[in-house]
Amino acid sequence: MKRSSDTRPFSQTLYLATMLLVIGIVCGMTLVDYQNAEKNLRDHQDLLENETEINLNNTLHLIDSGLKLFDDTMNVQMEEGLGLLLREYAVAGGDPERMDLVRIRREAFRDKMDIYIINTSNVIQYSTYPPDLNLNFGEDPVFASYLDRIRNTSGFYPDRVVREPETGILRKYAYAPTPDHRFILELGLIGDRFREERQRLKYTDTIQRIKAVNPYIDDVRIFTIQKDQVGNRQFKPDAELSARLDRAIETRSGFEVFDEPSGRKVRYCYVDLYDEQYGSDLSMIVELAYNTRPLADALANLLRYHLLVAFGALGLGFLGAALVSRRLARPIQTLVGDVNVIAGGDLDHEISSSQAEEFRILTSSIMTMVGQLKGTIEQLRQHQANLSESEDRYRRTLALVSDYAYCMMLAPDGDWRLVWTAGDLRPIFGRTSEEFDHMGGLPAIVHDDDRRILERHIEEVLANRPFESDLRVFDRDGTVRWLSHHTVPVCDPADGQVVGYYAAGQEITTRKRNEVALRESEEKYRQLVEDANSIILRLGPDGRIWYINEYAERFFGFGPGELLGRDVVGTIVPEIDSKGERTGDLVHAICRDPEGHTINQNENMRRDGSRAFISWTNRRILGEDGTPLGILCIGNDITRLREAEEENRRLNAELEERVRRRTEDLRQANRELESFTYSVSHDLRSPLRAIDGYVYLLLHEHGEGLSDRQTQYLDLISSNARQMARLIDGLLNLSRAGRGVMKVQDLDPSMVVKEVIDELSGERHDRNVEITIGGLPRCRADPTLLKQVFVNLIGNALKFTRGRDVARIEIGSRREGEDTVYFVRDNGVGFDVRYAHNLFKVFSRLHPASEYEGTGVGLAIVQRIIERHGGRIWVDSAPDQGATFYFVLGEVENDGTPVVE
Amino acid sequence: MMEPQSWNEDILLIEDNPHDVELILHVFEWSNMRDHVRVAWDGQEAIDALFLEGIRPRVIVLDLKLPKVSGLEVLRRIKEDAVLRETPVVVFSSSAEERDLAISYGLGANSYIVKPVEFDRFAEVIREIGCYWQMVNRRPDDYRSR
Repeated sequence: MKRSSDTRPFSQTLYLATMLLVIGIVCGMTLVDYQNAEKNLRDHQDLLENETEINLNNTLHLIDSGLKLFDDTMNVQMEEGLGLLLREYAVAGGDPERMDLVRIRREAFRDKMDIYIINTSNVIQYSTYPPDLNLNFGEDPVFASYLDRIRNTSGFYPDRVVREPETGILRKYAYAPTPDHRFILELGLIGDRFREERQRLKYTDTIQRIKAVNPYIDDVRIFTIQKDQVGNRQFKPDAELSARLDRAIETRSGFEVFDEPSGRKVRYCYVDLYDEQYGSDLSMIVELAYNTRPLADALANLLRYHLLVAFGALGLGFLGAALVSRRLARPIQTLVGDVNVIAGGDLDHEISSSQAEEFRILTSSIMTMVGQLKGTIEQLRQHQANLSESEDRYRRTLALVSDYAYCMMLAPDGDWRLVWTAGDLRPIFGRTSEEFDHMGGLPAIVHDDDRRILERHIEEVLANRPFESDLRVFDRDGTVRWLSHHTVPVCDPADGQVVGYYAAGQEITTRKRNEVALRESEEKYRQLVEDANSIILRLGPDGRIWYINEYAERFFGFGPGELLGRDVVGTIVPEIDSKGERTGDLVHAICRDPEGHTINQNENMRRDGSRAFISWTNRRILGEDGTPLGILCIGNDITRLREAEEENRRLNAELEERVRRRTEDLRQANRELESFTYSVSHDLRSPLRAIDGYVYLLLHEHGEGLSDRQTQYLDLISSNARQMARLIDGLLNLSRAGRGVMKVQDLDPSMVVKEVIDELSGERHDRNVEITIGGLPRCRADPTLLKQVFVNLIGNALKFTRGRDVARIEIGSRREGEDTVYFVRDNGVGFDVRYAHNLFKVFSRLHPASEYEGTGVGLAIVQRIIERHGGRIWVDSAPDQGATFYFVLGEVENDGTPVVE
Repeated sequence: MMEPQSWNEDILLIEDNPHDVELILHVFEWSNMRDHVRVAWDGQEAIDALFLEGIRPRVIVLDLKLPKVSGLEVLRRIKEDAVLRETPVVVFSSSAEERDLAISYGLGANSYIVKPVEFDRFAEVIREIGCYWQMVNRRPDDYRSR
């Protein structure tokens, strides 16, 4: 699968996408969840905080209410006291100086209450409690304003039980402005310790409860706005705390301080218990020290948990993404793979199907496409094949005709650049296409005399008219060639612009030459006809003379034109000739049907009536378009020839008669010879037989009484008689060889030779004889006679090799020109070739009979036979070098010599 | 006409040359068959013997060159006769001409033997003729009652 560096596999993309998705989802979810959880936690915490604070607030309020109630219980007591004090003031005439506060305290209040008198400057001018003397409430704006507010009124204004800042003793104060509004009388009741304790416990309870409810709270401290810690009388705030408390007091609200290092959050709640009815502000500040660590831990845990889950989820997600992406991508990959294979050229590759519908559609679409593609490819291939075939044919055709035809495409500009040529230009132009183009095409090679023709041709063509011209060009070695050149402008069908010139042509040198030759020939012909020494007529089918040449007119003794239009019969052809033949009819027949009488001879007559014998050749001639041009009759005067023929015939007849007679004589002679031979053989042999017989009987039946010499003589008589018999046989053979019917047939000489060797095997008995038979081609001969030839030749060979240790005889043939020369060769005693001319004569012998027996007729017989076959025989030898007899057979047919009766 | 067989006329020798006859008989002598030979000196005599006398030899030895009636004529007459045609005819002639052979066989000769010139060969041939045609060869007569 190819993978470019720029593109990623789909599965990867899918995977990445899925992963991203997963990551996104997981992260998002985690984040959201975490945030939610965090928020929840925080909210929870906040809620708790709020709850706590509210709770706290409520509790403190409740406590305060309780306390208030309790405090109010002392109101009566104090009211009475203030009432008393007012009376005392009145008694004193409004001058506190005159009051004995200590005594009042002691007597009226039994030392339970302290008296204070606040002037208009809000300073405790007079008091039974020396520490508070000259205490300036002006320093407390809130209280100061309260005092100012009540000063100009009248009434009883109780205050809350508060703790003395200095001593920490609880006191309840009450105020009553003097009627003259110059002073505010104040009483301070000392609180109940029990109550103190209880109060303290209540607060402690609250704290404990709060701590218990809210796990985040590390510590709770409750401070008065005097910066005293409830439950811890000795407490003194440090600077920082003091500052914070100040802040809370001033703002009358809570705030939060985050202590970075320790990670503690300290919230300061301002519990506003101020009741304007009372002068004292018993508001409290609750310091809640939150340990953010639990939260932080919880958050951290949460985070860890979330991260863990997130990772887990991511892990699973990645896995899932991987699986999903692979699962999703697989069909695509498979599809891709399959399509790739198809793209690689295997159009028949099947695409594996997938479950998804889209894939199925895709698959089927692709298969359809592939199918169409295959179809198109097949079509294209077909087209290509057709095109190739067509191109091939075209090429082959062009190649075939390159010898005499050419075609080329020329560029549309005036330079006549060659755009292409089909085939080779060399056969006609003697130059390759490149050379032709380089030279400048036709104008460069045109014959000077035809230059004007070419110019005209170019003019016409440039004017968009196809043109054709015959012109001459020179080929490479200066030979003149005639061309029939056509040029056609080729236009672009779209806009009609000329895109080139298509030029084609053929070499017509031969045609031109033929035309010239024809003209010349026609001229010559005319000349010939006119000057001919032959009688030339042209007759119409009716026998009228359409044309007669001058010679004929003269021959027949007529004047020029005298015979034209006249019937040939009656003018130069007699109606009936000297022998009585109806020549007129014949000639009319010829005129009607010249094909049936292409050659004839008949008697003609001259003007003066004399006769001549003419041999006519008659032919119907037609024009090029088939119009009959008459019957052409060419005649030769054969009068003399005729006469000679007659003479010849006569002589031949005579000769034949003579030959017949001679043959008859010969036949007769032959017959006589036959019967002579016949009787000779018979009659000559019988006495010899008698001689031999009686001698034998003499020797064998009466031989005891004979002397050696007598016996010897008798033997001689016998042997001579036998010799004579052999001679007679030889002569008979010779005679038979010379006459008798030759039955020539096609035969295989080697069969004859083998037969002969077989028959002569007796001669080879007890001897070392090597006979080699070479190739003996078939020949035409009389089998019997040919056998006789080989019997004699091989027999002789055997005879004359008797003296050799190994007799070597070879029978074979060789070719000399058209003849087959047969030979029989031996390694025998040989002879002096000077005497060879006698060899074939009858009874001639070159070796004494005492050494080599024989009649001396054998070779004469062989020669006679060979001669009868139209052949010849000759011999080569040297003394002691063996001898080779050669012969050729001529062409001969059965001579048909009749059997002698 | 049928006449009783004569033992003396087993072989009918038709030969005109007295020397040949002499020699032939000499040879038959050696085989003790001399008495079985009847000689006819020319064609007419042979015909008379066969057709007039009615002799029935077991074998006829016939020379071709005969006076009065030629050997071939005799042969023809013999082989044309319904009865005599069964008699084997040995043509015994000096001629080795193919033509003579052809005609003889054509007329129905049972055998053609060329007379050798050399006597030893001649004698051998005669002996063989006697042996073969007398002893070895079977003839229809052998099965008829004598």
